[in-house]
Amino acid sequence: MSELRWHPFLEEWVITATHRQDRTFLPPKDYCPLCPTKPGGFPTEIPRSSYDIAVFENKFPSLQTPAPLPSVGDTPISPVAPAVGRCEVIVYSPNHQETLAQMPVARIRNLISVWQDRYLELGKRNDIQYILIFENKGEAVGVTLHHPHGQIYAFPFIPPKIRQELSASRKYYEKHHQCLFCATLEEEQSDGRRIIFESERFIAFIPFFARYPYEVYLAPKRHLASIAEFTGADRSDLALTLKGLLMKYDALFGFSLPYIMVIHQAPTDGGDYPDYHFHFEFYPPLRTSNKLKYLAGCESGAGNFINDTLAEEKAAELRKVGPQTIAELV
Amino acid sequence: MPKNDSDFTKEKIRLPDGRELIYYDFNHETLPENSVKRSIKQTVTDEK
Repeated sequence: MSELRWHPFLEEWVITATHRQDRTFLPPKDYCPLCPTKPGGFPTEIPRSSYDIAVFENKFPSLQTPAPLPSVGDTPISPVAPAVGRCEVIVYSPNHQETLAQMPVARIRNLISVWQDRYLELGKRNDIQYILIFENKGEAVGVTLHHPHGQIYAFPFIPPKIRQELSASRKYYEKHHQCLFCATLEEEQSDGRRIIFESERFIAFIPFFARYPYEVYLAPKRHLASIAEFTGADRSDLALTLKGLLMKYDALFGFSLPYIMVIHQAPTDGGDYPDYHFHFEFYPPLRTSNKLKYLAGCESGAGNFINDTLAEEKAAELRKVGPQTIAELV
Repeated sequence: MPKNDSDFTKEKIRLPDGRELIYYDFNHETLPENSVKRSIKQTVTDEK
């Protein structure tokens, strides 16, 4: 059972999805549901014995179409609505052990093509207003399947964090006639201390206002609102920059770093968003090799992050490790 | 929105429980590391 329940104090929807309690949880490697189905073997979610990239509707979706009717009636202050939308799983590779950081650049580029295609296809739907592409990596961020994969949530509304960013971007644009993110990039490039890795078209940096010690933004240097606007050259350059950053993450503590990776881009609600800038946000949960950054009282209770580190120092750490040039990636 | 210029093929199937699954297959012959190398050694405008 899933439904949308309105939070009147925060003015945002909460998705309830009780069936997700029963989802597959850390199965043994031989019973991974995202591996190819081998002849005579255990039937996985993917019937073929080989594939490049596979995308399928999540077996335990938070959002789906048609959506079940809500389990309760609403009241004037507690609206409830069907959890319409779509949840997809993107399986990056048939290889169970591989991570995105380990994949060859050409195959990362393929994945970017799939992200672009999913954005274009799902974005055509009238009942979808926002497409969130993301990856949760590592048990530290709650991963239940280790096979390399990401997810897509196609929302029937614009999620609250995106609404906040859109509002801030619009306000800045109206006042300065410039994209807020482009202005931020100018500052970061001018300062230079927080930049981690860059290619001709993309740049990765720890933002001035980072909330997590190793939080990174990765964005196109020129103004692009969504992945729909990417050319083949953009996909190639993004693949290089993404691989460079992920290799640096893995080199940081000498193990495959857990992270949450999300793509923020223009909604697909039919609106015009000349003031919004496509970017990735990465939130690794670690503050040292063996200490987690918890979202405790201040963060969870007040919505205010306390970062125990300085972005300039953490960026210097990431700059030093892993690949130093694009040429090392191919 | 621009035309999709990717060189993949898509095959959509239905799983036994009715969910949709899409296979994306790429032509590795024409999407090799060479195109990536070119993008860093030269200007990338030729890939547009």
